[in-house]
Amino acid sequence: MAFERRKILLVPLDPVHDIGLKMIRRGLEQAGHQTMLLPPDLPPEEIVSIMGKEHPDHVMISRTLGYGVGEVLGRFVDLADAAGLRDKTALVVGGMAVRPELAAELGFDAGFGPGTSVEEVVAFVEGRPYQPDLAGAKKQKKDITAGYAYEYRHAGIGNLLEKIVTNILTWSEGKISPGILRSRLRDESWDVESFRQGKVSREFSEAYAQLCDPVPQAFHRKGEVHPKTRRQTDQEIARLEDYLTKTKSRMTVSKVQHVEGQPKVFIQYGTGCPFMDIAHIKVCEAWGADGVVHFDPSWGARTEGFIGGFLTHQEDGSVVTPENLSWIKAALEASTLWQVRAHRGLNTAETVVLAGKLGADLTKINIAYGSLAAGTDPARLTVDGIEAIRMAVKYKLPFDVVTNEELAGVPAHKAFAGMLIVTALGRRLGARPILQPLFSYSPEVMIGGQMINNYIDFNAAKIEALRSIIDAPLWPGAPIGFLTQTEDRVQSSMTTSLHAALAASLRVDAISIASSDEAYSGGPIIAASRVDTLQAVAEGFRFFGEGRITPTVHAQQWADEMVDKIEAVLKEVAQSPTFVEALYAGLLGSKEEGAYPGRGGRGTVTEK
Amino acid sequence: MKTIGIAGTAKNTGKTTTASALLREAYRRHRRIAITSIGYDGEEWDNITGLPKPRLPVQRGTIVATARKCLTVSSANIRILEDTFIRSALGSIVIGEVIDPGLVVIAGPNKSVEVGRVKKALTRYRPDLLMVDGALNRIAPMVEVDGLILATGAARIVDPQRLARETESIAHIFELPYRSPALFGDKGGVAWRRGEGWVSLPFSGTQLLTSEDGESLAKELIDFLPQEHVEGTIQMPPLVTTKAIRSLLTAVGTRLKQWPIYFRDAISLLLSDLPEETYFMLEQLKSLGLRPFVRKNVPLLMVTVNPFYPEYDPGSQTYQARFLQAGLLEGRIGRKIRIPVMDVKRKGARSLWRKTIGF
Repeated sequence: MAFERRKILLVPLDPVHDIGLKMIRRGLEQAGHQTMLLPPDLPPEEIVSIMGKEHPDHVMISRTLGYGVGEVLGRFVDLADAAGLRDKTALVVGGMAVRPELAAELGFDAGFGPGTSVEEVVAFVEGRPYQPDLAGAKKQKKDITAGYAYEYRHAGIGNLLEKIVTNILTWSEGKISPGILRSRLRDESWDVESFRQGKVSREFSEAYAQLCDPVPQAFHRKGEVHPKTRRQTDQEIARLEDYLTKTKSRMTVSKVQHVEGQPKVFIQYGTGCPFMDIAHIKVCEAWGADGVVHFDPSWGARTEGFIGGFLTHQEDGSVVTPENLSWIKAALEASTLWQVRAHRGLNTAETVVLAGKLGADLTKINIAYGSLAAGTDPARLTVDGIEAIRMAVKYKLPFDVVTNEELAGVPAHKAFAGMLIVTALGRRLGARPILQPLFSYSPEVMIGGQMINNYIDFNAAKIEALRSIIDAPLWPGAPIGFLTQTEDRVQSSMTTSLHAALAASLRVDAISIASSDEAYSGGPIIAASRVDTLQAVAEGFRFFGEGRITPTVHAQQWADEMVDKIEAVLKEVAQSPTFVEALYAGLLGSKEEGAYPGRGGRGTVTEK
Repeated sequence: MKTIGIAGTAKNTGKTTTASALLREAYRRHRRIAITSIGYDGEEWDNITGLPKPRLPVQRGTIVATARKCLTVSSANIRILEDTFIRSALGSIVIGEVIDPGLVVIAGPNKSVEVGRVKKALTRYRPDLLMVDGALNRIAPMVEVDGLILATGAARIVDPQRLARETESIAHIFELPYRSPALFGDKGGVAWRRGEGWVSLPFSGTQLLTSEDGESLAKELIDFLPQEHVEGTIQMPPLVTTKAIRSLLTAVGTRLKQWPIYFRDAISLLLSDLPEETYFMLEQLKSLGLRPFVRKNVPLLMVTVNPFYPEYDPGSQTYQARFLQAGLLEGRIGRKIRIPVMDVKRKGARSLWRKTIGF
């Protein structure tokens, strides 16, 4: 197609907002078009008069909006219309508050708001569809464990970990639990394709029911759902399908990272209602989230076996069922990483199988945390944890090893010792574990005062300490800034942003962030508050780029101390008769520190 | 098909409230209704102030002309009848029929010629009444309607006295007599009698906007017009401003005595300046002995008034809803103009229909 040179009149309607127009002018001229930049603040009559004399193809007006400005712009369009110029000239308005709806309301042919690129305007002038920079905008899933060799950098700690792992594997040999049996049944006899076609295997259901508590039994034998839950109605499902179809058709994903290497950003969902979860996920994807984490209700972790059905309930956490997970998976954009947590309960191993079969990218396993701060019997979670790790290897699911026991009051070095043991176990079994230290204002630092001066040093010390021990990916969580957020959404977003910037500065691989109302929502969080923190993190990443936050000397000092303490804890664990006894003895977190060995599934581990 | 336009003098003057009331009454009377708008309106939240705005509730059988993207955000179920292929910032304008009732977002064409095209297309579906809802203060495309309802109120001018003066001026502009000059095309020109015939000087442009425009036209006339006073006529281009007319009058006004002066219509005159200035200019014309006419008649059927106004609160940096005393505007404005004045929320849809549509 031959190039058609256009004539464009550029009109700043107030003196301080013509920078955008000047950038556009440069772009248009570089593309070979003729431009004419008018002086600022001309009355509409004069602009129309100039239009009558110059006959431009396009008139581009930039103006900030306030009450009354809309009327001025509307009058301008009316004058152009009444003068008979409206048909020959495309009218465009641009400015900070401009959206297509507003442009339409004011009678313009197009409206360009914040974030508009010069290229987009040039494409509009040339009458061709705008092709955003696909290389820049295209998101792809990233394996955040890629490039890590899992080599020990601290030989002493490495040796201790290997000894402990050997002990654990020796101890667990020949041990079995209902959780392991279910995970193997799910692995061997549950065909995901048949499930998707709505075929229920009676054999599987009956065999599975025999391994479950009464509530899942009632589901698999009689189709009864958990009394706290209800099935989504046909009407709700139809609406969800409609919502997904419409949303996906106009969906674009964005990036929060400003420079290569900034951490991937995960959000956590689990409103109880999968429909609401999906809506939140879509909002977060659109605003730049790289991954989403499925939060299940705590009662699910204490029940032997899963129920089924597309279920909703009015409690925190969305129930893990094959149907719920399938709907979530169907809603995700191709670029979104999906983590299904398996870390803490009686269904740990089976969760990994289910997540793997339904297409999750990541899971979460931690024997120490699950048995010390999440209510599961240490022996049970140890054997189930090993099985879960083996299943994670089979289904190629990297998993993070979370250290949430810190929130109960366990000091970081003890939580890290537990995390490193599970990491070493994963390493031995061929898995791809990810270290998940907390970036939080934990009880330990509240009492110990390590964060009196700043939130930087102690968090930086954690990363430094872990890096000096093992070459493994790092994913601070969960969420970053935990216990620093207040009910003030600006404060909450700000602290999340700064912790994200710190994470970027420390070159970690991923972070999990909260919504700005998460700590104080008192009910389901709102989608807008998710946008708050995603935007805040994007701004933090934009601000620092490749710049660095420099910790004070305390960081290194605390990192060194932490490594020494981790080594001391591991020595004790290695000397303990078994890992399970070490957990009971409080070596990885004592009752005084808020860690209580769980009772869920006690006595269910048997010898084969 | 009768076409009624609802134009506003500013945002929040009650256009959508008036349109909704007419719709309600039309449904009660079992009339088949078509709706479109000038550009986009009826959104849930005002784009500028962030205050809520009503949307239009429509019933089954209503014909709508709106942008394609608006169908998805409307709760009414609408079957597309045809695509007009008129482009807008929200997609092409389609004509559809309401299948299931609900709220509708209307974003119609935003140029006069396009409103004309949509009007023609809608005729095929034989509605009794076509309502053209205005957007913001957009008024130019209202030249296509058979009658106009003007929505004004405290959101335009909070001072009731000043608002009454402005509305009076608007009403007077709409009272200009209609006459067809039959001498020139749309761009207009000047003609004067020479002997038995006429000398004519057609204009080349479609507008007379600045003082300089007025002065240069005056110079041309001085060059061409005979020295003695002659009978003549002047037809203004479609768009003029009071500034340009004044500079024209200053230079040659006395030589145009007794001449008829034709403006396109009251709507283009409303665009020429603030209404009071325009009305004052028309009075000046008359005092100089000129006789102003419009070439196209757009009757003003009714003025609806809205006591609501948004007040900016610098403390919270938001707009707060405020209201003038009920009945105040109807009284102040009603005393000054001949056409009916009504607060639709107070007087109700029936009265509005009776006084504007009537059938």
